[in-house]
Amino acid sequence: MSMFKNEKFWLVVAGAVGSAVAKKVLKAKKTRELAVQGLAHGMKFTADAKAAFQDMKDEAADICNDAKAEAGLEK
Amino acid sequence: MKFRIVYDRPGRLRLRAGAYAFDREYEARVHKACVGVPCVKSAVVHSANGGLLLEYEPLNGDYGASRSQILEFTKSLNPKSLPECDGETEYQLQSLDDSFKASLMGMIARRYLLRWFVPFPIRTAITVVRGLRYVARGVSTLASGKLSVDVLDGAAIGASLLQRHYESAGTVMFLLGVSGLLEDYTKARTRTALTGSLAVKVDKVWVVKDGVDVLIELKNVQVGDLVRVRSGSMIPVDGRVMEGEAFVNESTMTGESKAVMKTRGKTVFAGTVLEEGAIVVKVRAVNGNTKIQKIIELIDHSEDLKASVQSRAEHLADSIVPFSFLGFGLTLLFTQNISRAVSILMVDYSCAIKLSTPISVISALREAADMDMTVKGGKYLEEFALADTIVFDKTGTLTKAEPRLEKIIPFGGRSEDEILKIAACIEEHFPHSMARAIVKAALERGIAHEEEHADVKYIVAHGIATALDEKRAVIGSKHFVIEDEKVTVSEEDQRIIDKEAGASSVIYLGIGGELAGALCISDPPREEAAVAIRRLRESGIKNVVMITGDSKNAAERVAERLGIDTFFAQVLPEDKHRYVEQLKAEGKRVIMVGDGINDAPALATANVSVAMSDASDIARETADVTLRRENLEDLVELRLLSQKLMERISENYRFIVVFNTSLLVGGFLGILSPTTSAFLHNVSTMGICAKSMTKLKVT
Repeated sequence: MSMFKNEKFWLVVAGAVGSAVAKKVLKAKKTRELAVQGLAHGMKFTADAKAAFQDMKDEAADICNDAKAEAGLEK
Repeated sequence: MKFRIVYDRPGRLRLRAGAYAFDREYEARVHKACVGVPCVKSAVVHSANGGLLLEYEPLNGDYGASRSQILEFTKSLNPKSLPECDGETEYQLQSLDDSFKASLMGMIARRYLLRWFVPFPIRTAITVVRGLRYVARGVSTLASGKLSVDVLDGAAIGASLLQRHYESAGTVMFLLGVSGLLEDYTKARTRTALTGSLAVKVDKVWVVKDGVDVLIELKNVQVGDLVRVRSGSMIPVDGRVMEGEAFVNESTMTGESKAVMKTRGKTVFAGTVLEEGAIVVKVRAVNGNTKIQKIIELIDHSEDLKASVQSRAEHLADSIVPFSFLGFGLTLLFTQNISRAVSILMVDYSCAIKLSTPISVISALREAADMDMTVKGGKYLEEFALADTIVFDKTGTLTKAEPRLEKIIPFGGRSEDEILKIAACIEEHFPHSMARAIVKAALERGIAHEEEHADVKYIVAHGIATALDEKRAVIGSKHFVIEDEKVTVSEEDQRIIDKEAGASSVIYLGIGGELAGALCISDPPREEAAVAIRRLRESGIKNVVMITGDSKNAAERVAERLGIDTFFAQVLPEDKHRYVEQLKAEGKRVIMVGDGINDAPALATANVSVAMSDASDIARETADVTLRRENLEDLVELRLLSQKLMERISENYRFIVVFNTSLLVGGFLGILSPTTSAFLHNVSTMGICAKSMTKLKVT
């Protein structure tokens, strides 16, 4: 019975149970859905960030253009 | 397309359609459509935010009208329905540059962000995972029986990981990544630039309008137009034969090299070559893509036509790899120091040689294209540098493309004008330079020549036969008229011709088996020919040879004037290539320069061949190099360019060997750490690649 008192034994059991649960969780439909959604959010975030960055660049270019026009550098 | 106006000033309008309005691949198409609007001066398109920046001019002084036109156009714009475009080279180059910059910045940013913000254990895990990919690639290359640079990279990174030098492994991978990115970018850029410089070529075609042939630009040809195509020309459009008969070589379409007979009602395709005959084609499709498609194929193909120096470099690069391993083993054995041994693995000659040689070759090809020369592959540049003999066709190559009719010698009581009228009438059907001289002279003398003859038959590079008032009329070289067609010529007449002709070429006209007249055509050499030949000699060409079908007299005078040491006169067209073969058999490396249909076999035989700017399509197809300017000095420029390329490749070799050997010695002696070795090695590789991209600057 000393086996049940052994800390290492419980660690092994916990490890086995943990990996079984992890396997189930990884294979579950819900997990897959969550992962796909997460990835999609990530991709959308990247696209939005790029768009926002481009917007900023465009607006900066327009401001610069106006400044040049005011300074009489451009018509 | 739905959009918002985000900036609106007279002459400048910025519209935004949002991030998902169109993909990156549609940018060029949208750009092309925008600049197609008449009032638009320039356009900038970004797919990231669906942005359009349009700078425009006022319509009749009214900015408002232009603005409305642009807004209407943009509303109706549907990016997905726009046709694929190919002529937007500058735009493509710009977007290539942008994406390279973005990738490079991304790579550098990722490296430093990881270093600053990611905790060491996670960073290490990332390095290990990425490193294992290199190791796996190395192992799979090794498993397939190859000991190449991939194995070396895998081993170097694997060894660093095993020694727990994660920083050094990371640096090596980063630099390898940058090298790879640089290589892809250079290749894509040079290929795009090359395609662009080739695509600018403007083709003109003969269109039959109200019974008259008019020369117009191919881009102006409309569906339904009638296009006349003659012997030796490429068919410029897809369509149906309406008139005439011809043998067409469709090898570009079908791969079948035997010419196919095309008669009324048959379909012909753009890009195929009319070998013999003449047809009128009703245009069914002006395929803008065909030409460019072919050119892109050509460039793709040109990568297969690697210079042998390039294949040698790649072979050499891989063959050095075992020595790197040997060096690693020996260092480990003698120094018992794994760190020093790994330094040896970090340095290899192969990477730099393998990268810099193709980059040098491709950038030289691009430089040649900028100088209006199309070189179809790296190996031809190498042959051009190494050649010691150059063979010129005389007419149209060494001489001006436009010969002049100097004299007419009539026989049998005919007048000069009568002879010219008959000759012009027959010759006008064929696009040979001699024929053009006769037709032009008739035009200048105001001689109208109505069609009086029956169907004309063109005997390639010999002459023309037809029936005139039910008598057989032949016009062409002495060989064709006197020997083949058995036209009689008295000794007295021949003596007169020889005396009068001097250095001119003589075209004989026979009617009903008797000599009716002789037309003396002089063809003065191009102004730059003598200088070009002298400069070619200075660049190391030992033998300058001229081959011509003309008389010995004419050939001799031209040879003397241009300083040509060997010439072969009265050569039959089918024999031209034999002379080239003979020169090759004597151990010479031959450049052949020609322009006519009859030069094609000789062009194919030579080590490297050049077609002049106004050469027939067959000659242009066959030749390895085509000139787009009418200047023989371009040959000298190409020679110098090819020699400079070879010099650059040897210089690169020397630098790579010396620099990397010193790194190896430094690693062996323990002066340089693996990280420093890897850094210096990769930086020198990138440096040599960057140097190889620069222009050779011949002129």
